[in-house]
Amino acid sequence: MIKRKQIAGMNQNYRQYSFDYFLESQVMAGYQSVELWLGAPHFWLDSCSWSDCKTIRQKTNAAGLAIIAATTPSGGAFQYQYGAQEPFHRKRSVDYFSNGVRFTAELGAKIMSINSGWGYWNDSFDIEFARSAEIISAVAKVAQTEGVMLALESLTGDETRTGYTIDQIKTLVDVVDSPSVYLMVDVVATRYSKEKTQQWFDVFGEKVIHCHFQDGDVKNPSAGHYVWGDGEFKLEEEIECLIHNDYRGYLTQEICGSSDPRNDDIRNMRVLSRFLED
Amino acid sequence: MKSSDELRLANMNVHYFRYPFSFFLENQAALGFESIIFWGSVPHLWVDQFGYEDVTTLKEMIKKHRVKLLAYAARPYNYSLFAPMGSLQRKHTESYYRFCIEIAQKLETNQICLDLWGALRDGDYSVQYENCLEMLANLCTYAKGNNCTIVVGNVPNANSALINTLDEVQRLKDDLQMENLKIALDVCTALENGEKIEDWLNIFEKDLSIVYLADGRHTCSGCPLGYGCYPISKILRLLKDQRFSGTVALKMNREQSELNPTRTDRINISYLSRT
Repeated sequence: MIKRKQIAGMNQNYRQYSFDYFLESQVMAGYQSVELWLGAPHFWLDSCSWSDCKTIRQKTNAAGLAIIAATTPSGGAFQYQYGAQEPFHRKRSVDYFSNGVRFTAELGAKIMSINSGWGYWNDSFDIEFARSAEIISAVAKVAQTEGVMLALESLTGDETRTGYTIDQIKTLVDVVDSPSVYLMVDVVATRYSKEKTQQWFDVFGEKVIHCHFQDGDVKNPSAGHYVWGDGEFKLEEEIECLIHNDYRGYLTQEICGSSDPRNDDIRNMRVLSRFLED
Repeated sequence: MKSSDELRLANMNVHYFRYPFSFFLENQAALGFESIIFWGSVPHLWVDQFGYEDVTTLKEMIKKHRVKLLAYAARPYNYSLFAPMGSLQRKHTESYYRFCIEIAQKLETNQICLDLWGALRDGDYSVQYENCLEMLANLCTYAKGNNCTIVVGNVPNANSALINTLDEVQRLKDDLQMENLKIALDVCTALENGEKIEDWLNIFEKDLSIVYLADGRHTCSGCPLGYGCYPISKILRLLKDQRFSGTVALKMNREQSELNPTRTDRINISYLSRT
């Protein structure tokens, strides 16, 4: 069985609500752990500074929630990404993600989620790959100093040309060659690339330390990230795979795009609870 | 591109997010677009609350490709005019938008468009509104000193709990009373809210400066023209009939079109040439 504390909520879906509302919702849904997405309006993080961690820790712990991981926002609505194409952008991105690592450490979390980033769609693979390796290597050095494990996830083939398959991720890990770089499975991204979670365990074994674990589409692969039960993934099969591999890490519910995130978290936990033990 | 006779059409680089800015410009010249609204975002431009990269090359590129820059659209990123007084987010938001005004000037356009994203659903609406009003007044004053006009308009419900409707935009304009505040209409947002485009034209008249045009449906907005359920040709006819003198900007959904932006541009051109 998976333990309840292994299931972690995430505040990314609460960007239109306050952090207090997020914490309250997590408690209502029955979460015991959270992965914090370090973006506004809940927090501030940039290439020079970050929010006061003491208050965040106190509030979160007072709600009975453990901060188990953090995600330093990249791409999408932010200036920063792990494959930043232009030299000036790369410098700022390295500073920002390095601060993300320090922010994570101050929050008391052991894991920070990262990805390969992306290049221009008309770049050569080698150039795009080299930029990602350069940024991740620089951030990994800071992670080693801070005692934070970087959990590298794959993206979808619509987001990157260099980090959407197991082979590409393995090459990136080998090139970066840092003791701070580990792996995570985002089941939506891996399914998009027609990969099964078992393949990640087969290739990376115990280096898989984290999961972004939510429902998605199979027939028409999409951005997914649904509440369990709203998509087409086979939850029981996914859970069996984790148990079979003696997975002891966390399963962050990276649900996105909800108009009512509180209700979605409650619905999601109701589905997952059938597979959990306290 | 002048397919719709009297209307001033401009394309935007939003959906060229996966390509260099030079690729966008080359395509605009090849496809016949004469005017653009520049979406100030990575990877085409770096700007944050600490400053911005040198825009000389950007300006030269625009000139070289003989496209006219009609406005600078500041990407909201994680900045918000609704942010609480005294917060880091608020401090950085004002600083960021001031830099955007400076960039607009350097690029020789006097129109800067802001997206009023970020009002929280569980926050006090009147406090957030006042926060927005105060910062917008500051930015308008700063822009006025630089001979710039600020353009704001309705924003999708998914991006903000406030300033989604015509009534809210009208109230904001009335409350602010700044000469250099102009209005933008996002057609998709207005239609999703069941509003009439005629009402926007009649209420704001000459102060309606930009109309963001795209097709849409229940599940998405920012679709290529003719690929949704909106009466685009009817709207274009209305804008012509009412002699709309502002800019009609084609603002596509980034994620939907970013893998093949040129295809989207061709679809739009084909649609406009038939209209």
